[in-house]
Amino acid sequence: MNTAIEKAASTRYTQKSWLDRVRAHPAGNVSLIFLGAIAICVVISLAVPDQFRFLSTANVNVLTRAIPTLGITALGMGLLMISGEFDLSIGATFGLSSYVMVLCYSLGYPVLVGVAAALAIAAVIGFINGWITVYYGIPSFITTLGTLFIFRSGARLVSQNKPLMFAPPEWFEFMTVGKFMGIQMQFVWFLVLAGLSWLILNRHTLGNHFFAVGGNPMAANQVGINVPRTKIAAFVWCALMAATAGVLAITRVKTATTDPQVFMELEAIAACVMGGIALTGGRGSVVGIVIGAVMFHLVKDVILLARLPGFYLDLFVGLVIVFGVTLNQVAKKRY
Amino acid sequence: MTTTPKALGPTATDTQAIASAASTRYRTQNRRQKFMRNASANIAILSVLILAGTIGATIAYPDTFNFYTTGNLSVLAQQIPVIAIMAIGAGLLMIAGEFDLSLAGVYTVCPFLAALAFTQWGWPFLPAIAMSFLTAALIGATIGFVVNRLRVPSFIASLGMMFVLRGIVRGISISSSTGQPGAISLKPPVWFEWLMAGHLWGPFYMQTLWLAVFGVGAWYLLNRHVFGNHVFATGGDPEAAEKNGIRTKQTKLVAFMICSICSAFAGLMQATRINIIDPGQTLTGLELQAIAACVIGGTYLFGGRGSVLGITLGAVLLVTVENILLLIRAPGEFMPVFIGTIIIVSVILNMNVGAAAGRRRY
Repeated sequence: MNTAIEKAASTRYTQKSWLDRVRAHPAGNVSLIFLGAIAICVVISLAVPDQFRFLSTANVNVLTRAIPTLGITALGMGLLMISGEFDLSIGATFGLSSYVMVLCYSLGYPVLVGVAAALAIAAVIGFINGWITVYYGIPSFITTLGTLFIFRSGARLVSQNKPLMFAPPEWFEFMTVGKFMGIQMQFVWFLVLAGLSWLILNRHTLGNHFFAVGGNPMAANQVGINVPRTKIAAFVWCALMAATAGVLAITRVKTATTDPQVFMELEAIAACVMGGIALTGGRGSVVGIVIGAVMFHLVKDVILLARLPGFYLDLFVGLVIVFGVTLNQVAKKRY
Repeated sequence: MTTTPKALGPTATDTQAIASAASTRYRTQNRRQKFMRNASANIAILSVLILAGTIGATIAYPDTFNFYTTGNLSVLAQQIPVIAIMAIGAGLLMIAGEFDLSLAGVYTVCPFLAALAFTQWGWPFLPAIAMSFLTAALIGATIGFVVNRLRVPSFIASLGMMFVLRGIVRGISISSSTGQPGAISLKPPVWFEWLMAGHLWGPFYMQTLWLAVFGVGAWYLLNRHVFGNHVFATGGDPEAAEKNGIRTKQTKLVAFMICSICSAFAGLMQATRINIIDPGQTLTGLELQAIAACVIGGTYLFGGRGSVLGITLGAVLLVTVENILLLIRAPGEFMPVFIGTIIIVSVILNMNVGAAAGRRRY
């Protein structure tokens, strides 16, 4: 009996090669390219360490300082995109919540109260975005385009366009932007939050619900998932991540401003899409988000290291975005 | 035995039967419902309200509320067309079911190239202008190609194009003297300056006329030309359109090109008026404003629904509200609050009132 079944099974399903299996993963293609790119960079920097300082401590520090801001916002955006929505207002959330943190601290409250206030404001913003989107049934692109304008001016009203200096206690500075055994703490936070996102997405019911709601909201509703609540949770998560990125970034530069963060939301979306997250929802992975965000800065870094003129920066980022997504589309069609 | 040939068309009794069937099937709609089914219904109501509000305020405070002065109206007449022409292009594309986030890039790159060719490379003026429009068409065609052939969502394709254009602007705007990106001024001949930004009469400028030309042109294209049918069909239901023999990919490609050309024209118009093109224009969020104008004007975000009147009124509303807030000396921070609220409220209205009036629900 058993052998017959096994025989039938072995003829029906041909074992896929490991390459096919990797590429069937949402982030398969981009991770292969990523590994290839890293390998090339490492080889070149080992061969000509003086011309191409990819592995130098300074360069690694620059990269690990630059990646987390985009990476953490992309983690939030990615989970939201998996549940089928966008958030264009993360730039405003970033500015407003980090400013509120600095404001609280400058008013004499402990710094952790400031952080809590920042996160609370972000949660409220996320809830408002989610509530309007879900209960009025309008596309989140529109909702968050509207709230982008609203919260941006809210941030300006709070700040009166005055920058605020931030001199946090040393332990807080060390915990957020310090160096621990040669590694930037921001990067550690990024990895921790990526791990947390992975746990939510792959080891918690909420993650299942995100995928279900993004893939097919009707079906998700039919099997008893509370679609509105799930989507609102995703919006809140996205806003929380934007606030976290804001707290880390402001602690590093020590000055809080509420200048509009142009393009932050589009860069986060681009990083997610490069990492294999479907714009329409229901497909994606945390590995993809992380790789997408790292790729974004890797391209910039390599161009700077190769001493190419500055205008290649945006040019290549644009080309890489389109190229990465094309590959993902090809993968979706084939597997 | 002879049989009478069967009547080719419907007979009188048939027609009657069809009419009676139709009258029982479809509830006749009263005038209000018919009006509300129009894509631009809400924005029209909103515009009338604003009009009434400004007239009321002018009567109440004739000395302090200077909305209806030639000076203020001419400011509006020069500012509105720029955003409105971009919004018309973006709206046409949105009706066809696609986005373009590279508008601000095209708006900057194309006039910049024209200025560069004319002032620095020594080209004659007309070829320089023609080249900038060709570039716009090429940019649109490139996005269309990436969307059609490589199946990249237009959101991403145009976002990528936006980065590319930002890079190009940065590259070509590096001045030889400072080595830094800098602004350039387009020094057009007098006739061109008049054609693009000349003063006609009272508060009317050539820009206003151009807006009328583009508006009527787009209206003709959408509502009186077969291409418009294709655009609506492509955006509404691509598969059905494809099965009806509409070449949806070609339609989208043309829509992308029209959209880019509209932004290039708006950029050229603005560049002629203020006589300077700043590379920083790519970062002003113009693409989101154009999309906001379309959406406020009742264009459906995912295609298949919209009107030129609504889009134009949407752009008018955006600029007018900003103008009124300046006039009543509201703090600058309030401006975006109003835009944001209008966007959300108008879409909610479009959806709810539309559903009540038998309009397609979101």
